[in-house]
Amino acid sequence: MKSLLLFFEHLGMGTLLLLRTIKSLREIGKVLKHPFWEQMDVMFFGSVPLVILTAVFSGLVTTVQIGYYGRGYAPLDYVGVAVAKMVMIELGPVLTALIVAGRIGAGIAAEIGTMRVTEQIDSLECMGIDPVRFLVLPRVLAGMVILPALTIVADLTAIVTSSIAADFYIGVPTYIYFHGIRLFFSPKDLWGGLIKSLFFGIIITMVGSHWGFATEKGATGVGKATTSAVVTSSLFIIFADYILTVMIYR
Amino acid sequence: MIELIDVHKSFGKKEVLRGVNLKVVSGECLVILGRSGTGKSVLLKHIVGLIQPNRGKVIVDGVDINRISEARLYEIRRNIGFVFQGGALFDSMDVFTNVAMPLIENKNFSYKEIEDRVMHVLDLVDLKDAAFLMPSELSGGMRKRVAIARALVAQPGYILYDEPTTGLDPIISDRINDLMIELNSQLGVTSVVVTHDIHSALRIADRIVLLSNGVIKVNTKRSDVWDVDDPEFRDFLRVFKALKEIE
Repeated sequence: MKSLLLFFEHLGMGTLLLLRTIKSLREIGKVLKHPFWEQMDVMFFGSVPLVILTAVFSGLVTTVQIGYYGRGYAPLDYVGVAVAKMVMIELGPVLTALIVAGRIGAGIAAEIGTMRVTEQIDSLECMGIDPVRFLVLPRVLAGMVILPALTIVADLTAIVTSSIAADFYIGVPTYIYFHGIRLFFSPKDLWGGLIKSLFFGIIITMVGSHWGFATEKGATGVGKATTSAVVTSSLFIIFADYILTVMIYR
Repeated sequence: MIELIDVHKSFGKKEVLRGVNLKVVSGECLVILGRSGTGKSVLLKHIVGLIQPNRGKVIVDGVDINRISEARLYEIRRNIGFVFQGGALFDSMDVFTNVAMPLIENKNFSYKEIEDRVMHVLDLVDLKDAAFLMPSELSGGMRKRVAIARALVAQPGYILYDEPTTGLDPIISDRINDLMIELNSQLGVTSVVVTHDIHSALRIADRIVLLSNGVIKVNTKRSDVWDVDDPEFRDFLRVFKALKEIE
């Protein structure tokens, strides 16, 4: 019962934070001057190596698995299109979001949480500066841009790696691999995945910010907030993935 | 003028403030004295609306700050400087940016104007040379002085200090006391200082109040402190006398 109450308490607090963030959009001019670009820089360049590494291995694994499943049932010329669709629609956005949730979501929760317990947020309030506009809005806006950008990087990396693996493991030449993609590519595969990643960007930054603001009880509290941010964002990403997949592709 | 009328505040079952009535007159330096854990900081945070009372009113310049919009509250806060106990400096920014923050965010100053003002207040607190250090590179006393500079930079009408001398060595404490006296007398700022440091209280205060068991038990001018017969207040004075005798 206590856990249920706590769940609804956090859901309510998170919703209020989202509404305050939307309200703070009227001061977007101040955010776009500097903090937004700073966050873009931190989020993108800090995450790119991790995202590329994950995409390389997911490209490799997917290719080998499709080769295994399809052998004897489907022409292997279609490996390219199968991998590309899987990567653009599902693996690219979701794996990138989960990786970024662990890195950026946790970072946001830890940073804002530390600011909360060391009274830096109170200090902003006392100066007449809205902490939501100052801390949350630039992160959410940056997340909305960075997640789709990282997803494109992940998609491209996974497809290129997969084309090499297809040649190496299952003997599908690269030109056949890309020919298959060209034949069956639908723009919806790409923009659907990017829309998903835009929502994942909002989820990761909002959830991280919420747990940061909800932090209490010193260093232990910051640790708990960080863990909660990763767990909650991961769950919300998986849930939102289902809803968005049904809305876009059904 | 700041006025607290019958302010009550509880955290769970713990009743911290039980009907506080207090007036801070413009231009004075009021010290709120009390033992640790008596709710002094809680009281101070009520004045800027960081904590809302369960009952009672907090009036700043004639406005009940708990009955106004957020935008109006931010406007009122811009006329109040708050010096937090730990300084609450933004640890990702250098001293200059920390101090400049209220100007960058709230006022339309040119970079030159901001630079002039920041360097002026850093000069007041004797930290001009530390402008481009990070907070992690500062000592406790320096952090407090940066926090004071930051509270001062927007030229507020009020400055609230939360335990400004706690944790500092006596020499630095004295420098902070001198600084508070200077700001009060030269700039005409109204100051509210929360402390349990009786030595500091007797140096800087125009008026001293004692917060005990959630209410204001003593409210006296500095010149009249030796006439107060409250036992807790006399305990504070006894400590002060003992220190003086040792000196």
